[in-house]
Amino acid sequence: MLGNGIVGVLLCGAALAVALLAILAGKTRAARASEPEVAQLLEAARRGALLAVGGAVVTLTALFWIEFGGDTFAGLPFLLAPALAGTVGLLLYGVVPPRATEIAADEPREAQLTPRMPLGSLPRRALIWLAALLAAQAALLVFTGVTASLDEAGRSRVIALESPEAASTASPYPGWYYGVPLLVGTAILVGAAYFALRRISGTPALPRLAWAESDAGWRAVSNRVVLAVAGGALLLQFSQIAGIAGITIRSAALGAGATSWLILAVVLLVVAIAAGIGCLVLIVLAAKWAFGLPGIVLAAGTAPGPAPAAAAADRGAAAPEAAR
Amino acid sequence: MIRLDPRSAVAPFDQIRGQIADQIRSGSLPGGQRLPAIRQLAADLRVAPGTVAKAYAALEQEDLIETSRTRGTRVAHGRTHSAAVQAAARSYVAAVTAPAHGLDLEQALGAVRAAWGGEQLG
Repeated sequence: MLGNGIVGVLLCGAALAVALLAILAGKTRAARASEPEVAQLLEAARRGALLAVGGAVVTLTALFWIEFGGDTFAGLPFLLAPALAGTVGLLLYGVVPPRATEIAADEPREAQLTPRMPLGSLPRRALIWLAALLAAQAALLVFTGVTASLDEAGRSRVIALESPEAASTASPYPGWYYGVPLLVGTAILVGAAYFALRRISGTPALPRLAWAESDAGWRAVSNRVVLAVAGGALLLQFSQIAGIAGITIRSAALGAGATSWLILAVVLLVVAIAAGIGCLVLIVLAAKWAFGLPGIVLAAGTAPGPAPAAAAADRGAAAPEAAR
Repeated sequence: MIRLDPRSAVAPFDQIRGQIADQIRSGSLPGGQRLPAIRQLAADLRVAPGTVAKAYAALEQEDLIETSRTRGTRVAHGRTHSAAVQAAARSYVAAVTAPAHGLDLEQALGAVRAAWGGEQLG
């Protein structure tokens, strides 16, 4: 398990280094809105996004470093670390009170008539990718669960392969001993992501229609950060599951001379590497978006997502109250 | 969009109700369009949720909106003024805001009220 800890620390260190390089590369630039209300809101949104990303990365690093649980739980905490880290980061974001821009009691205020839903303004493609990732992980865990055997302690974490010539067993294998907690952990991570998205959609809007694009902009970028943190955690977890399954199947397949299983092992190892790279990319992007949130929103001019179209449709005649 | 003026003599809930009603009748808010939740609109306007709830209740009584647990609050269908009425309103606005007359909204509404009263009596 020490090896797991070392790998984990190296992975986190690489992620942090890449994130730092991306930020220092100058892609993000300091920007400040001319209106203090907008500037304050964007800065608060940036702090929240940094809390989500930083909380997840620090938690993951700490969990890998202390390798909590040691060998007592046969490496289960190591597999649960990504979901736990992602959940911590997203919950930190979700529990920070939303920032409502202060307005004088007698000052007129404006509001759009466009409903804001937690999932309503998310990029459709991102949702599809996340759903596909969840389905793939669930399918893999079910597969490894039904193909697993019991070890000497009665835990479903061994793969036993046979051929006419030989038989071989290997572990650790992500059977139900790991699979059930991982599925539960994944569900909790998804819940934490929804909680963070609700926090974003529930934050009161800026009280001027002229600021609607900035308002929609910070929400869109914050949504991206939340999805990237959740997606990064899922990809890292998926990478671990596929990697461990691939290594263990390969070991058993070589011993048993089971060629088809050997091919499966190679495929799983390739998937594990791809998912690991995907995780790194998402975490770097999340960090970049979090650090550069104000600049991204202001530089965009028009906010990303459906909000600008909705705002345009919403600019119907608002008859002043004098008519009443 | 909704604009709420706390300094107005018109109660906040009536301002909200009136502006949404006008947008529904003018077609700016088409039938079936979903309206924001009470909490969202109240938070955005910095008023108590009860104020928005009262406005929504009044709109529902006027059959301008429909509320259901599953579909949320939506604009009712078929509540838009006819094309003829909207055209007449646009013509009137164009006429009274022309440089020759230059009325503001309150003056224009006053003229409508006076004519309306005369129409009722006549």
